[in-house]
Amino acid sequence: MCEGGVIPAGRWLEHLRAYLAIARRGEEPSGVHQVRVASRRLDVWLRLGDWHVLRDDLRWLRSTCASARDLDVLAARRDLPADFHDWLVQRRRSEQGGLREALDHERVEAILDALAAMPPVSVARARAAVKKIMAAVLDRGSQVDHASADTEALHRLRRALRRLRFGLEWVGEPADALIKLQDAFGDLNDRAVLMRWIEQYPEQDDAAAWRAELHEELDRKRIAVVQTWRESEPEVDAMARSWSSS
Amino acid sequence: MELFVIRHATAVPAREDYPDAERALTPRGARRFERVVRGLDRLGIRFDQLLHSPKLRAIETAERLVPLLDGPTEVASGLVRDPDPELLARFVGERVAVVGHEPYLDRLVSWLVLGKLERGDRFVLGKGGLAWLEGEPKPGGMTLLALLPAAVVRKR
Repeated sequence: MCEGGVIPAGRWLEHLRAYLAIARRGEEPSGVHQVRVASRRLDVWLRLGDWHVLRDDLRWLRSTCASARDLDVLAARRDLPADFHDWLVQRRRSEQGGLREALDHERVEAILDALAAMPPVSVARARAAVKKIMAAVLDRGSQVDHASADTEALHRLRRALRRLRFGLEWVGEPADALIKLQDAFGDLNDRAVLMRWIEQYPEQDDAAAWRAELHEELDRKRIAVVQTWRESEPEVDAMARSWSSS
Repeated sequence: MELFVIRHATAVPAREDYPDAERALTPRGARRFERVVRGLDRLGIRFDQLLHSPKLRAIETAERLVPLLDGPTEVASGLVRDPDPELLARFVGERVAVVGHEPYLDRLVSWLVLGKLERGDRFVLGKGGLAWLEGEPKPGGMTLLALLPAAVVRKR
């Protein structure tokens, strides 16, 4: 993504533009998913350039797609009770109208126009920002070690790891080591999302036993994720040291 | 509500072969506006919402106001055309700053103070200058507290 010492938003901005059209139509789950993926990558691009403006706009854009994305992921599962699955599918259908209205808001076009007007980020500045993101990952990670059951601490670490992965990709550095970590955290997050939607399901009596089972599964997953982090932390720490000395 | 209507700082001149939206601040324009921000800071001015146009010179001006902000930023294409009710509906804070362009900002001030868009010639904003309004963000619902050229604020 680096071109002559600078990093333009280019490819991910065009990706966002293309998938907004798909998300509006609501025919494919990839639309909403890729809008969120692109907006997160562009958020990191802004961070690399030390920009504060436009990041709230991208956050707003992601939040408009959040429920639809959750429901797309859950509706694709084949292991959910039939009635609950049907309820999820129905909820997703009813989300589409509001989603389309939000994506038709002129703020979306203004976000695209603004990002298109922005100058590219210098590689030097971006690399300095990646070092800060690495430090933030290690800081969040140290909080997790002492709070293995703290879901919020794990989410903060997950988000920091995602920003680090995207930051490395923007500056053209390998991020493979982080993908395994992201997968583990992503798995935990998927279960937490499922729990949030179970808690909204009107037939709570039907869901009681299953909810209890999921609570236990979440507890096991949290412990496993903390273990995965502990195993990976030395590698991330070594990466941070290598970056600091470069 | 207090509303701070701020014109972007000095930008590179327009050129036919260069997209207007991508015109950046000049280095001098950026430095001088940073002094405006320090002047606003010394006056104790803070915002809880900051809206800006999608053009680069407004983006760069808005970015320099972020240290005075305790709240969200929002890009608003309503700031690159004559003001309308949709734009006013987006002013939801108590101390709102908007960064945009002439002649739209003059017309915004005229509309909010006099209830008419077309008396903007009474409220001309220089680059980096601002109009400070108070009241309800509806046509004729606001009072002009001050019209401050950038040079005055820089000297605070």
